[in-house]
Amino acid sequence: MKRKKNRNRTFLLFAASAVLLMMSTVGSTRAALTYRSENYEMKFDVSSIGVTLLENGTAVSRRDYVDDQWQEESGALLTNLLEEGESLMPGRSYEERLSVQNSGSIDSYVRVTLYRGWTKDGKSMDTELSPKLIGLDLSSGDWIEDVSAATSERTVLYYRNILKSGQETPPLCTALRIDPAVARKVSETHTETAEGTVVSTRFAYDGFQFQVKAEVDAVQTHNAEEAIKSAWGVDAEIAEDGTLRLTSQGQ
Amino acid sequence: MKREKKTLGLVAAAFFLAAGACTEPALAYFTTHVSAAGGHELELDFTTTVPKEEVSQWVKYLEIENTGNEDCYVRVKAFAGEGIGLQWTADGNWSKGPEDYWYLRTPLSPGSTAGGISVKIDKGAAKDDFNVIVVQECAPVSYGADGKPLGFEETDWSQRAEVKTDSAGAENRGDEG
Repeated sequence: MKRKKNRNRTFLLFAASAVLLMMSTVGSTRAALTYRSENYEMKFDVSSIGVTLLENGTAVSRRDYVDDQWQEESGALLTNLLEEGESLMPGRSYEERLSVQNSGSIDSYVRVTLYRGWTKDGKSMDTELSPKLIGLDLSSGDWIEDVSAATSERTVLYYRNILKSGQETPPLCTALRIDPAVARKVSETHTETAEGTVVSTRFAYDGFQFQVKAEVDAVQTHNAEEAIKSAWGVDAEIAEDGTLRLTSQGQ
Repeated sequence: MKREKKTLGLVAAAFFLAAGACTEPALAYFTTHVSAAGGHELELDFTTTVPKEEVSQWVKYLEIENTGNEDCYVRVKAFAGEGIGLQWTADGNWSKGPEDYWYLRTPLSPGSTAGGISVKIDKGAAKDDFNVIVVQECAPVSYGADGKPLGFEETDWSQRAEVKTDSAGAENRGDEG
């Protein structure tokens, strides 16, 4: 009798799991059919995210997901800062409007990380010269600075609003200016020789190249809080109107 | 007993299959990124000027040449002993300004010479030898945000180079900021 009861329970469990399995299979099949149908009739592409960095209104670099593959174009900043044969003037404000365009087919949130520094060889950054002397006129309002992530070399800015497909953000930076204080920093090297001490004087910043780098990240707006946390590692709150707020700093 | 074990195994397998099918797909988000960088080299030169004097009929005629590589502003002044009179004559390129200096009103470009200024010496009752010393200073032209040179009135003559030295021979590049 007890054995029969056990067998019944086993059959019941088996039946329940079989039903569960069938239901899940049915669901998947339906989803697959729907997807194929839309894909076939509408060429509905849900994964086409893309972003473009603009400098003074001109696209510099872009990375878009098109036709199941990444399409990338990479350029350089500041190539048109000076005229042919012109030297950089410390103190002068040069137009440097940086903005971001959504070049994908889905809306996204974007952030831009700006790096600045001095380099002699164009590769490694000098750690003694001050990045603060490379002035960038940053915009506020639509762009929020994450002050907790800021260093003298790095500035992280989040675009507050949803960047709709095809739209361009207002500029996050409008001008670049090298502080004239670079011309007041002088270094002297005293070298002892048989004839006496030789003093060599030169400008500390002479021959150094200032470098500005902009990194743009974009993430989907669907399930945005989790997506931002996963992709960027920051806690953000999304208001009903889609406005982004960094919870770490109450902005 | 064997059959029961087989049944239980099947049940367990069915549960695993069902659980696997019901599990949410791994979370992945649509993201993309792009970057660009650029820069320019800074070329800085020391500004140097050389004064030239010609004396004739108790008048010192002054000329200042920019021998450096940058535009600069120039100012001149003269010192003399007590009882010696100094009377300046300058053309419209010069203005009398603070600290008893005469200021060149326009930037002096590299290789150019500024003249048009002289100082007449009135020795008065002096019978012994005396000196009249002309001092000239230059300051690099500063530029405003619009890229235009600032006027001579806006030149900061109090600027001093922040020099860091290292007697041990190692190089020191000064303070940050």
